[in-house]
Amino acid sequence: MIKVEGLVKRFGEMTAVNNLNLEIPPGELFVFLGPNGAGKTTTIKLIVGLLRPSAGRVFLCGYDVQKQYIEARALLSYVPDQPFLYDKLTGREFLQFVGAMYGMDRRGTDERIAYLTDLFELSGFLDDLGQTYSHGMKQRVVISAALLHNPRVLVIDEPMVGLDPKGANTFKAVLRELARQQVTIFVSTHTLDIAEEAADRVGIIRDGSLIALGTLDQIYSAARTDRRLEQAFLRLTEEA
Amino acid sequence: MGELLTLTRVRARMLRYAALEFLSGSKLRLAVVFGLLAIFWLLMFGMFLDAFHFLRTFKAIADIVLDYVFAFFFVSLLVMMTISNVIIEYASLYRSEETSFLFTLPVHAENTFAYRGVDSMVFSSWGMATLVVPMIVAYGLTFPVPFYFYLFGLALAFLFIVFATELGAILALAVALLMPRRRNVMLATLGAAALAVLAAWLLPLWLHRPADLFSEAGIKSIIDRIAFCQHWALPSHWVSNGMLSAARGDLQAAGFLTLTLLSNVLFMGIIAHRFALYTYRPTWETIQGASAKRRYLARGRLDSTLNTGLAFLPFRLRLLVTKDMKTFLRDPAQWSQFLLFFGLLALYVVNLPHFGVGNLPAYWHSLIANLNLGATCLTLATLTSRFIFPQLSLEGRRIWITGLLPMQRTLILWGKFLFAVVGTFVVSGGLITLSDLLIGLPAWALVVHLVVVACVCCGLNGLAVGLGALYPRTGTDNPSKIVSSFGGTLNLMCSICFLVVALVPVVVPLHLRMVGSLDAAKFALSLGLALTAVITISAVACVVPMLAGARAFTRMEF
Repeated sequence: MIKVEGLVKRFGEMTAVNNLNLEIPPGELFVFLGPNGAGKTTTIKLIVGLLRPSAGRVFLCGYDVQKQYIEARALLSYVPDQPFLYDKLTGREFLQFVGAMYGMDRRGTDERIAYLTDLFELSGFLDDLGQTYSHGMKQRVVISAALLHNPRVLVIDEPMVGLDPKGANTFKAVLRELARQQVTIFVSTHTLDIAEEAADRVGIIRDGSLIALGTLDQIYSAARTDRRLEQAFLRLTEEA
Repeated sequence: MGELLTLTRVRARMLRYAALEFLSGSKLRLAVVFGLLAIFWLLMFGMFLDAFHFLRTFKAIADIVLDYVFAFFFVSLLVMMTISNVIIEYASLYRSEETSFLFTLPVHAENTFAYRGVDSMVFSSWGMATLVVPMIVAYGLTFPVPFYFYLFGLALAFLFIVFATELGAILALAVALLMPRRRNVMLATLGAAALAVLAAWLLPLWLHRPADLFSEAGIKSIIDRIAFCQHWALPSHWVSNGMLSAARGDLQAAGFLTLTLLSNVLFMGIIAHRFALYTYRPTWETIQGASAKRRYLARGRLDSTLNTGLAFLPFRLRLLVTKDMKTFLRDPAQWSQFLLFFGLLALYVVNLPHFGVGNLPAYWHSLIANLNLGATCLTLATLTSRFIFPQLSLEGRRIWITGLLPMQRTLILWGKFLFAVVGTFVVSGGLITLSDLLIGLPAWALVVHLVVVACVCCGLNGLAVGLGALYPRTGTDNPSKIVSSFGGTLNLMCSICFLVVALVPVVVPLHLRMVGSLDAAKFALSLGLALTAVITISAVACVVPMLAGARAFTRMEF
């Protein structure tokens, strides 16, 4: 589970995240929405520990991300918005490296890589150097790396950028399956389809503050709109 | 012309904003940057002043020696600047994202070519500018020169830079035209060609070497070998002769040579422009369409070798070091420069016996051995600044991988340090062993040199990794930009200062003992003290920046 308590992040005079409180239980697929510059990526970086909060705390499965970071990271996987890989390693070498660093044995890693290779159709390029990959190929390798060690918490920033329709469809199915297996999933995106099709709850952030939080029905009701998330999102973010 | 003007204006605006941002930054940083620049400039100036004063002592033949020295200096610069321009122009013309963007705009290819050319001229030649200005001033203060010597000196230096850029650009286009799909082959061919030229130049010198290199015949044979630098058709000759003519008051000759260079610069400009007009766009398209794919075997021979060789390291640290080694070995742009630097040093060392070093008096024997140690360490400092310092910054964009692994972040830092120490010690230790054995140094001196090299490797790499973590530049994947940042400059200066402080205490007693000025008892005591000093200084140079870097890296936000 993810627990965020009074989270604040300031960059000089600017407050990027302002007193954010959130609790996402195991097995929930939570979708985080917001206009550009609202504070989504900053929130994600605070949750995974790439940024230190100005105030507040983040817990992953009960571990404080800042103080008990090794335990917290062992349970976490993060997919960044920009999938930077090592240019001079092949995709397979990269996945083997990640598996070994998470303490997986060689056989287990290879079996898991074979499964993910089939799932995300990596076989055509997995033994080429990362420098030859397109954005979508990189994204598929990064997602595979995130799923390799069976994380308990999955944090994803813009997962659909670069994925083709088939890849996107597979990924949505994988997310649903992971949620069924009690994995906590936090997705930040501009692709409203994911929220409409798979989200258990949705949070909307604007100017660093959470302006709406709840199930889709609760969001529609708060926005006083019919069952269209795009309309609800526009109304809520413009009103706030 | 309008397109080129617009592009240049945009670049000038970007430069202005970057300069304003830099100037409005930390005052301490500004003071350090300008202070280091001043120190570097003064060092160069002092070195040239000293050299010119030395040459002036030759009195009757000073002018002849100066002719050769200037000609050789500028021909070396011409070769280095042309090679540097070929590499930079190629990357800038065919690999830059900005160039790809410019090709989507209605801009003529030859204007993009010219714009990128100006860019790489500034990038590849600023070092030349910092070399030539102190040289001109030092010459003017040593010898009586008319006022117009300075004007001619600066004009000739500027035209020389433009000429080398144009030549580099034409060669870069030719390489792209002839070898569009084989970047590695191109690099290897360029390297092989450079070595072949060097060998062709050195071989006759070696085959017809006189018994005593310092005899009249020996000096004549050296002068004969560098006489080609004075060839009338070489642009470097126009520059060196033009400057010296101006210095000696021969206005007519200086003017003639300056105009010769100017007309050749303009002519080369026309050739470059026409060449680009017909070849740039097609070669760019061919290179973009080329496939650089090569399949690699996971857990292949390299992995098992590294795994066995690094078995003494903790498992996760071994994985990090293996990753860095593989990344380095698969990048020709990295290892080829490493190979070039140490290859040239090795070539020089292997040739030492042929220059009769074994027959030299003990004074020269010791001096050459210790100078070799200094040269190896200086090369090492350059390479750690170029390759090791940017490592942590390059990790920045990939920190979501290593930074979020269930381990202490400082392990990444130690992984980089170990990778660097092992790699640099294998190469530099090997070179020093070869040098000392060929010179015929006693075994104890070799051991002392190896201890010093090991200490220097730890110190230099500790500085590079530690300062790399203290002053990271994570927003770019271009190592050159990281190296030329404030942290990169600071690292280079700290490395050179460290070398001076670490090498002097041990080299002095070693030299005195080898020339017989120090008895055994005094030598043992002074060597013991010297080695203690070197180990202590190296430990401080290694541990202090590493600890500060580790602290900064742990607290770093991404």
